[in-house]
Amino acid sequence: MERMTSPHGHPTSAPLLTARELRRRYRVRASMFGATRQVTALERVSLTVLPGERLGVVGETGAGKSTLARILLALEHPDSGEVRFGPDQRRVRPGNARRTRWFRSQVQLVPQDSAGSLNPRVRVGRSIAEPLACLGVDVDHRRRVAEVLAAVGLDDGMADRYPSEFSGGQRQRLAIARAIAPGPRLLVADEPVSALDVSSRGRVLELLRRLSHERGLGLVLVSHDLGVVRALCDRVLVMRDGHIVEQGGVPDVLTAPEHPYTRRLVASIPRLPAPAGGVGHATAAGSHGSALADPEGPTP
Amino acid sequence: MLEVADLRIRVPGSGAPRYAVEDVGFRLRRGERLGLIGESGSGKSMTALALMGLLPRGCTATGSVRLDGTELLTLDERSLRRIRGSRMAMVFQDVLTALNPLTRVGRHVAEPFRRHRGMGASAAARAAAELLERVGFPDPDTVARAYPAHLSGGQRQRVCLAMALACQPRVLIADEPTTALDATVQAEILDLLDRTLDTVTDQRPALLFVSHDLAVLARVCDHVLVLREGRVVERGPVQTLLRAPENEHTRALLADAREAAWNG
Repeated sequence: MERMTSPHGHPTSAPLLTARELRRRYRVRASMFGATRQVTALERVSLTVLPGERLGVVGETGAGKSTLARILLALEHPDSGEVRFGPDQRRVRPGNARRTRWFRSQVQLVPQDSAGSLNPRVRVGRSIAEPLACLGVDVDHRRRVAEVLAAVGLDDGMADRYPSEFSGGQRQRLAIARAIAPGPRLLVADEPVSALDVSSRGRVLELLRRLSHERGLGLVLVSHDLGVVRALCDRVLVMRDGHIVEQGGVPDVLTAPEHPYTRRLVASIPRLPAPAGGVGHATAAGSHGSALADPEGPTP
Repeated sequence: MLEVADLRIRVPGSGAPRYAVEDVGFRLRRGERLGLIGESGSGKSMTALALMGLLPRGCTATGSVRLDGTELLTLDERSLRRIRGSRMAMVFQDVLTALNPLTRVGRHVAEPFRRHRGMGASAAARAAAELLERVGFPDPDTVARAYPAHLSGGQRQRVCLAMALACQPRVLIADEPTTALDATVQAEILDLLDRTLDTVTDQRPALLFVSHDLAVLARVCDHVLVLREGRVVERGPVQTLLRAPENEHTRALLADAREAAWNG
């Protein structure tokens, strides 16, 4: 079911970001002295993100998801194709800091490894304020830091602490606080919860959902984990070997996948045996095919 | 067969003694498959490492770990080495660092045969090739000549599994063996583990499977220990635990797992 309204029910709004026919190839060397060969990271990839829409990009190692994320963030040039952004759909190109300033204040990254993305020797408040200064966002830094810390559910007194004083889940909140500080319209989140324990995973996903909803933030969520996409996204692209093999609304694609690869991906998710009544023994015994036949488990 | 009692692992640090694991005990019989589940910091990996005598420097384990009656915790390093890889073997999460990048796959898999079985080079190579075929390499001779860097993550984990099973261990310890792998590869490896445990070895080794993922664990194990902050908070058959978790923490784990595994 293609959605022609934004998730907030506005009639077909203008797209926030469009990517058209992206292609990217890398030359890699097979061995230290061997000849190089070409690897296709992206091939004819097109997508649209509406304001406030949450788009999932799933695929396994080598599918091209991270290359796609880097191109959407204007950190890398596509070999061909283009990315356009904003109300006037301006063409986006990687470039020097001054030229990309506006775009960077509008599109922010939520990284996977928040521990590695926060400078351990800098108080977190300063880390969060840093993009404000770099991007020339004209706001009171202190007040903005306090505001975004509150928005991610952290106490504003925590601004004076160092990253090591936080748990993994809290650090990911800090990374999100920093991403929303410049007031972006779109977040690109690359595996935002894959380094977290299952319990904090749910809370961070809930936070992303709430922020996206409250602020009308678009979200591109790159993940190898279909469960994460299902929890958070409206629409999903399934990628394999640089191609989009399937796309559509989240419930449709994940409960009735059409492409054989998507089916295999959905079937390979380990399932918990059903909660009661012993119905789950077949799944526990691990027949992957049968798990597909009963995607919902026993409906209560 | 394997009996662990009052296991306590002290981690280095000044001030009051700190323990990563406290009063953990369990028994593993032949062919049994026990899962250790918990979040990061719950002590599950430390427990696994302690059994192998591979705790990080400075950590000390007390209590008792007995394999067929032999106390392992007080054993000297030389005797432990004879047990590791022959009667007890381990596969790890990080398949990149588990293999020596400069050593061909064939030599990796042949090593346990040479070291523990006293086989000559060519006999060990033949045994290795046969084993590689059994863990799903249709062309074992080509794989044997490859270096680890030529293999994918899933293939490397197959190699590690082959090495671990080479000497038909009594106990196989698997510490998050599929966590670093793609979903479709994870499914393949879990299938393989399931199959090979009973077929590649005549011994039907016991399995100790460490995981943070309840769905993965339920796929391979029949019993489970739930760890939290170094202590066992619940134990029992997987089915019982899934049906009627008693401990509050287990219930939370289960709820999260149902959410994440999406068939809740």
